[in-house]
Amino acid sequence: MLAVPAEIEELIERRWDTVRSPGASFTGADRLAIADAARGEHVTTLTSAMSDAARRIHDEPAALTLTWLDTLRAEGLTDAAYVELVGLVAQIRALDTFEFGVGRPRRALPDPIGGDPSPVEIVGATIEGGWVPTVGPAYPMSVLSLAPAEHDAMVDISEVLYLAPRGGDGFTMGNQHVVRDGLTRSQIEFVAARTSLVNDCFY
Amino acid sequence: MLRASADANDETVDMRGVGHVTVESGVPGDAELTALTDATILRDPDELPVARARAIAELGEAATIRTIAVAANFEMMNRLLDATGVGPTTSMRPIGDLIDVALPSRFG
Repeated sequence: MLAVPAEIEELIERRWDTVRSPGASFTGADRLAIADAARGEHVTTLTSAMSDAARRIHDEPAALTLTWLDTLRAEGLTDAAYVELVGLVAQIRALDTFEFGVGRPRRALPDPIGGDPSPVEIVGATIEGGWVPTVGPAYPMSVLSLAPAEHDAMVDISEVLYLAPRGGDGFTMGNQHVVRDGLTRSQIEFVAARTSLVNDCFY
Repeated sequence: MLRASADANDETVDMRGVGHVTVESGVPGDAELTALTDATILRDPDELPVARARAIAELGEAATIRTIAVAANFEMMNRLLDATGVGPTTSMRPIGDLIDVALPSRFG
């Protein structure tokens, strides 16, 4: 059994705790149903369109199109809900991938935390280079503008699993000389590039 | 970012090694990194134990876990960008030539 660092174990616990909690557009139960659907399980508490969306984002992200997203919009899915769904599915993929890679079973879904969604009003988000409104041009740090909690989750995961998006010293993207757990920056970026290439993601 | 880190550390990296396993990229342990990354993200239960053992032998356990962690992070990032329609900027597009991989037609 590999000795997973405490900071990663703590990240996993922290992220699952927010997955099961109410978000901006979805209840905790709905968020867990999205996770379940993304994993390929049959879910009866979501619309078929949402279940399908979760699975497609999880399994075939490079095949997604704006036309497809527009069909979801035509069926009533708001952009805020879509962005929260995207953020959730992406997080689940990261967490599940890590568990698989280190040889652990996929984590069973926890029980949801009750409560209603807490909508967030985002000011100044427009379509600017992507498919969904963002605050500023669409790029990795703005794609989740409509779902701030999912943005925070993305940053949290990046800081622990990869490098912090901002900053110049330590385990940050600004530090070209970083060595983390014995991996040099070039080795880290090689893995990142290989992952993206296999996923057909060319950003 | 790979090119930037190589330049910053005076390393010579053949970017084609990212996409072509027969090309030595110049990144230490690239074969083991590739095998482990692929087995992890492609969810290959047969190859993964072999790739993990090779990575541990070459890089050590901590670096092996970190490799898996980085791959997991980019599984997340790739989905965030693809699901929101964010593709490579115009300035990024020559990277396709560097890694000797054609950009998909959806990027124009």
